[in-house]
Amino acid sequence: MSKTITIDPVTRIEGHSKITIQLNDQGQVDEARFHVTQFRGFEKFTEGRPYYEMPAITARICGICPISHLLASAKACDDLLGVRIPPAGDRARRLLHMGQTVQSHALSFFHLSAPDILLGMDADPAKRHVLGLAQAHPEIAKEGIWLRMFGQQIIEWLAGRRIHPAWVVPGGVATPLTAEVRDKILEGIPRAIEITQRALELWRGVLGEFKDEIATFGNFPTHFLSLTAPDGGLDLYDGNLRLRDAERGIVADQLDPTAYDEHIGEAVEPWSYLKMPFYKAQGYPEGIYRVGPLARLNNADHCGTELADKELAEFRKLSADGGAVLSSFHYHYARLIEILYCLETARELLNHPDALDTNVRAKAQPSRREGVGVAEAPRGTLIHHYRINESDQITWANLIIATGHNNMAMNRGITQAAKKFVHGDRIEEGALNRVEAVIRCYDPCLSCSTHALGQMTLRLQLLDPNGNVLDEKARA
Amino acid sequence: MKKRAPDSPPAAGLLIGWGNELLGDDAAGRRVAQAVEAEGVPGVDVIDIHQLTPELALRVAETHRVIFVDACPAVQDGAIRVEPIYSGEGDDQPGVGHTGRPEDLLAMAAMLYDAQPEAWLIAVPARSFETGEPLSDSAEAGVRDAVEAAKRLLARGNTPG
Repeated sequence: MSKTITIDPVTRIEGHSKITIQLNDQGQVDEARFHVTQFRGFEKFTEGRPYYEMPAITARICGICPISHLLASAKACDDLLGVRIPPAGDRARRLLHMGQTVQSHALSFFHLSAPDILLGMDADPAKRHVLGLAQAHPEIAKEGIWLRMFGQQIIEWLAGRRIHPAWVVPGGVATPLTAEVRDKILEGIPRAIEITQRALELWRGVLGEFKDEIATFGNFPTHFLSLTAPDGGLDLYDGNLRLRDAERGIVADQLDPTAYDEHIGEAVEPWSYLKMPFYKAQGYPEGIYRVGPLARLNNADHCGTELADKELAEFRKLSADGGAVLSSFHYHYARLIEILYCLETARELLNHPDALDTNVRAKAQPSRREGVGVAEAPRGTLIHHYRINESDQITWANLIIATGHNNMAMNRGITQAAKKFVHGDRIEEGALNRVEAVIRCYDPCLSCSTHALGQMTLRLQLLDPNGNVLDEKARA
Repeated sequence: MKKRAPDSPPAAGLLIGWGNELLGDDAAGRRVAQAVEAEGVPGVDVIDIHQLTPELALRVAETHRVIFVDACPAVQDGAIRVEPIYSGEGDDQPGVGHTGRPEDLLAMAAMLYDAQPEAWLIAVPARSFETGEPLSDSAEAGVRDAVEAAKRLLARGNTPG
């Protein structure tokens, strides 16, 4: 008799989700599914609102990556206005984005994934969490806190608020960079780089202990999608879309991101509220691709900063045949390299000769009725697409979030891990954690979650083919 | 009272209200934070934030008294709940991640910074967590009660309610 195991909700990710594992008649894993169980109604919610409110509204979708929504939304508004952002405004936005990526990646690595990495996948679940990390490795926990806080401070110093700032506006930013803020950020960068480099050393030191996880945590060929700079370099803020395949061959390059819908389709499955984006040229589901740090480093020809490029060279060695790095376990590694890139890029932006230029905003009225903005959020490519009427009100909006792009890959990844680690009609703690850990590699941000007191539990259900619960476990 | 500048010394009291402002009553904790900030309580910092994340442990560690304010599913009488809370050190399942619990921040403050501030939780009864901005009438009433309770706690110290 085939059975289904359910992990509900998945822990240490943002939002509401669960995992079901379908066993076949022989008790072996047939398929696993990652279900997003909360409906996001934000596109509908924004209809009728003035377009210029969109950056502030959509930034409130998420508490972890509000800046990404802010930037993608502002870029969509720029497109509506048909404006060219002044260079200082462009640099200011990029600087803000660097702070955002540092704080988000620091949270993911130091506080969400480090318990698995440093305490072990099979460690007692009563200890394998951030408090256990704080107890066993207090210095690492403190450094993670410092690094995340530094990223947050960059946002707060620039924009006045660390969460949901209104500093980014259509046409640029509201106020220029000041010398005081420039100097404060510059002062913190050396320590931030030291912390990141120590984390990279730590990572390399433990990598050998995770051979099974590397082999089975979403280790399969897919395409990789991201923005890249016109010269093929890493770019988190702007550029054009590039797709590489598993051999790192370029499938498509320099695609206009505002024409994303010519290349990306969105399939719907009845068991999840999260859509399944795919590469149209290959159809669904063959057009599976991944986004985010792993995809960006696979796609980019170079980072363009000294320390990050040295790390990128090491990262490339993970693929023996010169192809793409395929295991999603290495999202963690890629995240650390990107932190380094962000810190170095921030320093370059702050040391630019015109860093304090006060011309940071272009003002205009809408010149078209449709606009698209695309940026690389910490978790991957983020697309905002709006249509407005003659009263400048939103009549239609489409948001493709990074986690959505990775939806198919996450599902295939947990199936792969479950086949390796789940046996029989009971799920052991270590196996349970590994299946969840596959999802955490992608650091999915389903955001828009309610988190009200007492509502978060983890439930594990074992169901027969008819949906009857055979076994159930819960974590309060 | 204004929110303190990032580099200024910490205040004796700290109020943290959190929630998602686009999900109905989930915003109740933030509304309390915004109201307390607007009214001003001397010697109190206010953090109005989307969710609890680990770095807040440092802010918690720097203060003598911290009040957490959040929405919670409404119980029958619809009254706010005010209760002391303690470090979650030793808990099997802490919630700190993208979304954490006050107890976890207190535990991290104790473990990492050897700090044990007095802590209170004010839970505002919530009816709806659906997408939308306005609070329900009962949550609005809860916010008003919570603001008064928070001010009393911050001003007088030990007596809840």
